[in-house]
Amino acid sequence: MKNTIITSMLALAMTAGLNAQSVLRLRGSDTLGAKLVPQWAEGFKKEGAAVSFDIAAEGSSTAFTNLTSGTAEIGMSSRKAKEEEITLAKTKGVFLKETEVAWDMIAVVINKSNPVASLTKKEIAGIFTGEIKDWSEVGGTPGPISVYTRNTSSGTYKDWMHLAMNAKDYAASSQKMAGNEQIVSEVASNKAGIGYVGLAYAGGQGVKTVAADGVSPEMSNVLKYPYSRPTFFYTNGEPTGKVKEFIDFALSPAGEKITLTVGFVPKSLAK
Amino acid sequence: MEPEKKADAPFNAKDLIKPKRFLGLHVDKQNIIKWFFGSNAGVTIVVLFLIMFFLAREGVGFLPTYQWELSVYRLAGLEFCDYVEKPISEQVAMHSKLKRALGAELNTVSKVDRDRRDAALLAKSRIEDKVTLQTEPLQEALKAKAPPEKTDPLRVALTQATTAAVSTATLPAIFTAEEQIQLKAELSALQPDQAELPPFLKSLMAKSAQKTSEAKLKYAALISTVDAFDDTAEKLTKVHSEIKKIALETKEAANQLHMAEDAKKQLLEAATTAKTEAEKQAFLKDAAATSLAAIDFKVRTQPLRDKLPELEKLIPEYITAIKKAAEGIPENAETPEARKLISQVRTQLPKHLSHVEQCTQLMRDWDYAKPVPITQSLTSFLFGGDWITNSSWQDFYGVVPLLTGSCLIALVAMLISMPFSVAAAIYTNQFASLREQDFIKPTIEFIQAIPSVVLGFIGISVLGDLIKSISLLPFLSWVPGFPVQERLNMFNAGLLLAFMAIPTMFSLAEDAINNVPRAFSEASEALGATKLQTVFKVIVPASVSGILAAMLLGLGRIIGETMVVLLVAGNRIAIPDFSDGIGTVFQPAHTLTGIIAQELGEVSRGSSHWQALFMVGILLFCISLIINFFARQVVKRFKFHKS
Amino acid sequence: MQTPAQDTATPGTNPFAKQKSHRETKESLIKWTLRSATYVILIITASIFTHIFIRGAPVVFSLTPPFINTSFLTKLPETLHVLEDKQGKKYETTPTGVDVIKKQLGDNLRNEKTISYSGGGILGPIVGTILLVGVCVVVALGLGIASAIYLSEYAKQGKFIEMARLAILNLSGVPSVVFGLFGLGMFVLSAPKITSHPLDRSLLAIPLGFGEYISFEGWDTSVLAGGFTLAFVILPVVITASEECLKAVPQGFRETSLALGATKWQTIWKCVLPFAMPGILTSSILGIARAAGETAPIMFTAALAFKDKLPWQGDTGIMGIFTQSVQALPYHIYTLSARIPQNEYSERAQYGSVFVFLVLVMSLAGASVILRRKLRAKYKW
Repeated sequence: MKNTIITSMLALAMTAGLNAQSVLRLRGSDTLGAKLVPQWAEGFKKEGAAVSFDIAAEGSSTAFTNLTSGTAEIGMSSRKAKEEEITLAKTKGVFLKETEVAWDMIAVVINKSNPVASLTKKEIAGIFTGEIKDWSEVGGTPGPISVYTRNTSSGTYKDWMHLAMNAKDYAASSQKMAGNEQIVSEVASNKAGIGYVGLAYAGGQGVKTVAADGVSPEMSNVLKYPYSRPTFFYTNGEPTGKVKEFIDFALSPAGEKITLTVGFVPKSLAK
Repeated sequence: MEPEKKADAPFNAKDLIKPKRFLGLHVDKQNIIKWFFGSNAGVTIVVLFLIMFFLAREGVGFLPTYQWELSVYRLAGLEFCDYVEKPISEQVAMHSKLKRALGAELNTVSKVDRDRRDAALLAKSRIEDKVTLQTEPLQEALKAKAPPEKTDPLRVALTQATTAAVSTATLPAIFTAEEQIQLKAELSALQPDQAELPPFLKSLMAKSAQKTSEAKLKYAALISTVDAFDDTAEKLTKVHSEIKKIALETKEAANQLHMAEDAKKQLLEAATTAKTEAEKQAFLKDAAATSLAAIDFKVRTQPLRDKLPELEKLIPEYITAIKKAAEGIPENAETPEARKLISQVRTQLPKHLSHVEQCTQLMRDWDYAKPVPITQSLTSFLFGGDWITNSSWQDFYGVVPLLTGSCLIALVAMLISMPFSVAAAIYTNQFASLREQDFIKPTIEFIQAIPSVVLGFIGISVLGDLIKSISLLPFLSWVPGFPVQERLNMFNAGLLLAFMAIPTMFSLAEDAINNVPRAFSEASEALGATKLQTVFKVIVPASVSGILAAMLLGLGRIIGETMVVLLVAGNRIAIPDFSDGIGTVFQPAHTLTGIIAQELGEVSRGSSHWQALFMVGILLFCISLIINFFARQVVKRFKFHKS
Repeated sequence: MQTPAQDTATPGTNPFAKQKSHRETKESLIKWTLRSATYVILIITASIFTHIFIRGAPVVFSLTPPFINTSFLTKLPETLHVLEDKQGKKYETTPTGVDVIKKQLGDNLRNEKTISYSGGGILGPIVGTILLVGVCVVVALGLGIASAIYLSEYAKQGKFIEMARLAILNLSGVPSVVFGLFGLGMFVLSAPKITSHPLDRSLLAIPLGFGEYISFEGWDTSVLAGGFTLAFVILPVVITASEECLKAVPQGFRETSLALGATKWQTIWKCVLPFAMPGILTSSILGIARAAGETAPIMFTAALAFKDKLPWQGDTGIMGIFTQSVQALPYHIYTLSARIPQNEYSERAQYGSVFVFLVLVMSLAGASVILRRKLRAKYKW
């Protein structure tokens, strides 16, 4: 068949070597990959590093699948690697090495015109599990609550289940959004909306954050706030060369300054 | 696309000349060329089979995987826990309704003052937002304990800005004109370091608090009833969460074992392909270190069965408690909202009680070792009502919520696009002048070229907000489902899909009408029929099969469309709540195509989730084949014999 | 706009004119209902185009010379930084410009916002789409025209031909996302490739002797995988269009050629294809427009949300261009609609990309329509 002929011809020509080291491929978490990491990359390049970046942020699970198949140098993850992921990687000759890079606080956001200012942890859990369905049950203007969550493969989706919902399942009526920004725009356009996003995204137009058990999501509260979590870079073995330089940059004072402006909590502050 | 029979060449030259040779073989070169083209024509068939093959290759493994997952669900006792889960969640839902009813009742007393307070606070925060530029330097100065001569100009600037902001702000009509003036004055004078709120705002707060406590006093009986209702399930919930924990541990152990088995296999495999001896030894050592201790589910689930007597004792207790609590629910309520909710609870209660009673029986009959047949993984895929993935309890892959979403959206789209496209086809073919036709046809066909992702973008950026703001118009409040809460919903997606499907339906329907022989309309007109009679009594009936086929092919396009529904349908994975009647279409939903696009890129290859998504693909493929089949049948059955 | 059938029904000013009967009123009412339904469709179409044009055109064109904003078309997408000083003045800038402005502002900086993908231009996605469509065209036209030649020139009624036609019909109804799954299963994960290190997932690795293997391990997410997938999406369109054009060549041409002693192949090559080719190409442009607009098939086979260099940058070689994943316009628009907020800063990138994309696809479709008309006028048999 003709297409197989073309295929093998192309394939023949394809044996050219793999990409050179000067490309850093980062795969994984949307929380890290949509905002913070591109900024680090820009900062790193400005320092004169001759590297180019290839970033795809589709959820933490993809960090490990890509590292394992050798299609990424760095995996970005907003959760720790699971035991099975580590084993699977090991059998492919990839030894996952974890580096904590920054802390993220997950903020509960509601529409700016919603009079609710604070919720208890129990109420937050109730809202996301669907036990609480109406704003009047938590002292707001009566009306059904619209719950927005991340999509199921996101690390934040799972983290939130454990951090805030006592590991119960999400309400079936929750709406699965592609990313943090989409949650913000939906909540901003829906008076009865509630969602959770990384602190970096909580300053969006038309939304405000809610204090949990009286603790508001501010950087100074990073250890007090119930929904804080560390985020990680994963590499194959000890980072070397450009990978190491990049991670070092992210943890350097210059990198941490970027971390702060983007709305994450630098590792050095979360002590 | 009826194949035309070709007249063969008038005379066969082959008979006259000697046999052809090609590369010294007794093969006609012409035949080789023919085979080459023939094999290419076969490509479409091959591709169709390749699609089936690759979908099946990734998807069919789903059945055993899901069977295994479901059997662990049973073996580990998660199923046992879910028997209790169902009545508990029903109780929670009823409690939520009662709380809402209570809220509605409390509102009769406290709503006005709370609304006034909220409106005032909202106005305050809006104005504060507008003047942050002026507030910030003042706050900084105050923080640095700057002397008054430094802060005073800042204060003046702030007050100026605030006054300007206040003068443009409009306050809602729940404040009288006097109050509005007072509130505006207070808002203009606000300072960031103010310790207390100004008097009017303060009085609003106090009034609201006072009314709230008054309301609570007035409805104390109802409040205590609702609380009592809440307390009924307390003991049951406690035991339930205990057994859940046990079951989850067992499941975790089973998963660990499964992974360990996999890991061992992989390690051994890796050892056989290892390059160096040392590496090989390391892999073998790892493999040997993986322990594969079998799990005795009988022992593991024993604690669950041990809890049975306790549950059996608790359930009648719960029934009496909830009956007693239900007695406290008032016969009548003041607000229609509360009346509706309370009557819902009343009708639900007997059903709930029977579920509770059934649950004892179910638990008694439960057998952890009852095998899960492989057909069950197929039936629970096709007829399961839950699509829950990445769960910390149990993943379910039931396609029904997605299918209902797809179907409802398609229904909306068809209801809108059918009349429009048929009307346009009839008009264009029968009534429009030639010049008009020349302009209508290419324009509508042009729609086909608009990429679906662009329409999805329009849905997100324009149409959603448009629908929402139209639904807020007071004179439209009679429309079911209005006002719309979610801007991304099935109606929005359906509208866009209708638009997308119109060109397909229009062109095919127009073709069908065009194919009606001229003699038909001429005969009809000769008999004295008017144009309209000719069109609706002769031409449309004659072309009905073609129009029907056009609609079916349009339906195929609608069901298979991905980007619009992914962006616009709202992605809620649940069977819609049909209690809204026609208004249901304003709820968000997820679809078969959308779920693949949203989740496939992010799951690891070969996992049950990945396989489930390929199964959804197989389902979609079958649906498209079925629709195509019917379209062909329709055309064949009503085939119109041209003379 | 008068239709011939209604001439007599037009009410004139003549007082002696026939009064409209009940039936005539009904007829014209129904006719106007049909007409308004038609025009509603046209108006909606027009308003969508106008909306995108009004919001999107200013991104690409400007009223002042040089009238075209080249940077949007010649730069790669990047993050947009918005700095605000304490007087409330806002500065939109690029990642490199941030430091300059920050230095200028010094303590006066109030806050900094970043909006991903909203700065720079859309060169990366445009190039990616062109590459994908290029691969797609080569494959689809090759296969499509060949099979159309068979169907129109060689085929006689029979089982095989019926099956082939059925397959074409069914293929055209398969949802594009299913093609995406197929492309993922076949081209990304199991198409044959020559390599010295077969991956574990390889279905079958056949050693070639000199240390190389033909390994059925797929081409990963790449231009090649995406282009092939798209080619199969548009194959039915190409075959149908090509066959129509071949059939439009008068039978007499073939008969004359055969009568002069030419072989079947010579006839096709010299007397049929040259006349059908312009038509085939123009009709195929419509298929190409469709391929350029599809998102679902390339989602898992080729597209990437962000890439900070062009395919040929870096030392990947010529073939490297086709073996890497790229940004593509439709996927870029998906990212822009779903992953970033809708506000005054992202609007430029969103409407600009949509506008460019629409213009690209529409001009392809429009070119096909116009060319086809011209051809029809030229070859009238």
